[in-house]
Amino acid sequence: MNVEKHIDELNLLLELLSNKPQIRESVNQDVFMQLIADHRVISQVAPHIEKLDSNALRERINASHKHNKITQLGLLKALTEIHHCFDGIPFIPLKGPLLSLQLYNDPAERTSRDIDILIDAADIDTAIDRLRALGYECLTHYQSPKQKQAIIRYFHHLEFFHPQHKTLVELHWRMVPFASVDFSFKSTMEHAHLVALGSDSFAVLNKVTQLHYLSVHGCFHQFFRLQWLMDIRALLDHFSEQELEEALQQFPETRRFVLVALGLCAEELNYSFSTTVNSLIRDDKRVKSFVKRCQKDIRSNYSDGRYTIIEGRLEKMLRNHRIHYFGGGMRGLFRNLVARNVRPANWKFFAFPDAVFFLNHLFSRLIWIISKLKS
Amino acid sequence: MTKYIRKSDNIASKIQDEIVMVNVTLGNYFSMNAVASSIWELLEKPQSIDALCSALMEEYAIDLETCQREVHDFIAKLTELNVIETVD
Repeated sequence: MNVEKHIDELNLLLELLSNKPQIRESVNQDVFMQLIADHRVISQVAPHIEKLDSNALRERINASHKHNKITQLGLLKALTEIHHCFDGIPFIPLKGPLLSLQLYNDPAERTSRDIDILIDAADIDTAIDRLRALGYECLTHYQSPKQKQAIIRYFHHLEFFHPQHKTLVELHWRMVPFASVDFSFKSTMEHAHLVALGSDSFAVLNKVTQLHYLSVHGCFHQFFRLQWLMDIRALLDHFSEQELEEALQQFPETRRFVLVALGLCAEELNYSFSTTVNSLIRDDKRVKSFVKRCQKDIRSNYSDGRYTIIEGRLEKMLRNHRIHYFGGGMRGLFRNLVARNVRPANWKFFAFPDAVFFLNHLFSRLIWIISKLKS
Repeated sequence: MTKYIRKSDNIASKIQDEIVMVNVTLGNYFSMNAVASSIWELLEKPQSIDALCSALMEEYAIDLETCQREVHDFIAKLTELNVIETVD
C-alpha cells in the first residue's frame, strides 16, 4: 500500500495529536478512520473533534471512542479475573488498563488488544497452570524440557487465548526482547507502585521504569503505531525537566531508546525539551538515524484492515535485524539470528529429540518444510 | 435516613458526559446518560436520596417531587443490579 496517497489524512491525524489550532480538512473519512484504528489513537483524537467541520466524521469518532471504551472494560474484567486467580504469584501488568489509568486517570482510555503480564521466570509453570484453570489455551506449544528451555531463553513471552471471551494474554518473563536489556523482575517489583482499581490493588511500573520500558518497546517496533508515542508524550507530563534528565541516567543501557522516543516526540508532536535533553538527542548519530527510521514506519502504517507496513521479505528481514542491532549491537544481532531458527510452531509437527536438540537450530529450515507438508 | 454508596467492584470510564461501566464480579456492562452519570459520581461517597436530589436540583431544572421519584426509581434499579449498597 502506498501511503503517500494518504499523506493528507496522516498529516491531519498528526495535527490533531499535536494539538495544533489550525486544522485542515478535506480528507477521505474512511482512510482517516482506518488510520486512527491502525495507530490506535481514537482516545487521543476524540477530545479534538470540535476542530473538525464534518458532523459525520465527528459522529464516527464518537461512536468508535465509545466502542473502544467498552472493549477496554472487557479486557479489564479479564485482567481482574487473572489477578484473583494469580493469588500468590507476584505480577505486574504491562501497558493495558493500568497504564491507561496511570497516564489518563481512566482505565479504559487507551486502546489495547491484549493483556500483558510480567512475572518472575521462576513462576512460569505455576502461572501457566493458573491461566489454563481459567480456560486459557497456550498458543505456543512445547513438548519437552529442552523445547521449553529454548523458548524461555530466546523469547520473552508466551501467548494464551480464551476461546469463549476471545481474550489474548501475553505472559512475559522478560519485559523486552533485547538481549542487552534486562530489567530484573525482583528490582522492578521492589520499585513498583500499588494502584487501586475497583476493589483490587495492582503493582505497576514507577514512572521512570515505565518511561524506559515504553521507549524500548516502541523502539522494538520502530514506533510504527502512534499510540506508543502518545503514551510517552502523556507520561512526560508527569516529569519535571530535572526529573527527566535524572531519569535518563537511571538505566544507562536503555538511555538511547528513551532518546529516540524523546526525539520522535519533538519531531512529530512538537514536544519541547530542555537544552540538555535536546543536546543529548542531537549529539547521538545512532539515535538520530533511528528516529528517521521510525518516522518512515509511522508514515507506512496503513492497513486496509491488516498491516502492510513492510512491502518485501528482504526489507522485512533487514528491518528486523536493524532493530536488533540498534537494541543490542553485534551481540543482539547474532542472538536474533539464532532466535530466528527457534520455531516452536514447527516443533509440533517435527522436532529432533532433546538429546540432539541443537539439530533443531541447525535444520530449522528442514523442519519448517516438514511442518508445511504435514499441515 | 438510608444512605447509598457504589460498590467497589465497578469500574467506570467517562465518555463526554456519559459513563460506561463494568461490574467485574458479575460481568455486567452498563451505560449511563448524563443525569445517571451525575448520580453515579455522587455515589462515590454515601448519599441519601434527599442529598442526591439537592445536588441534582442545583444542576438541572427539575422540581423536588419529580426529582425524588426519579432518583428513588434509579436507586432501586441500581440496587436490583447489585452495583450499590446501603451504608449506616
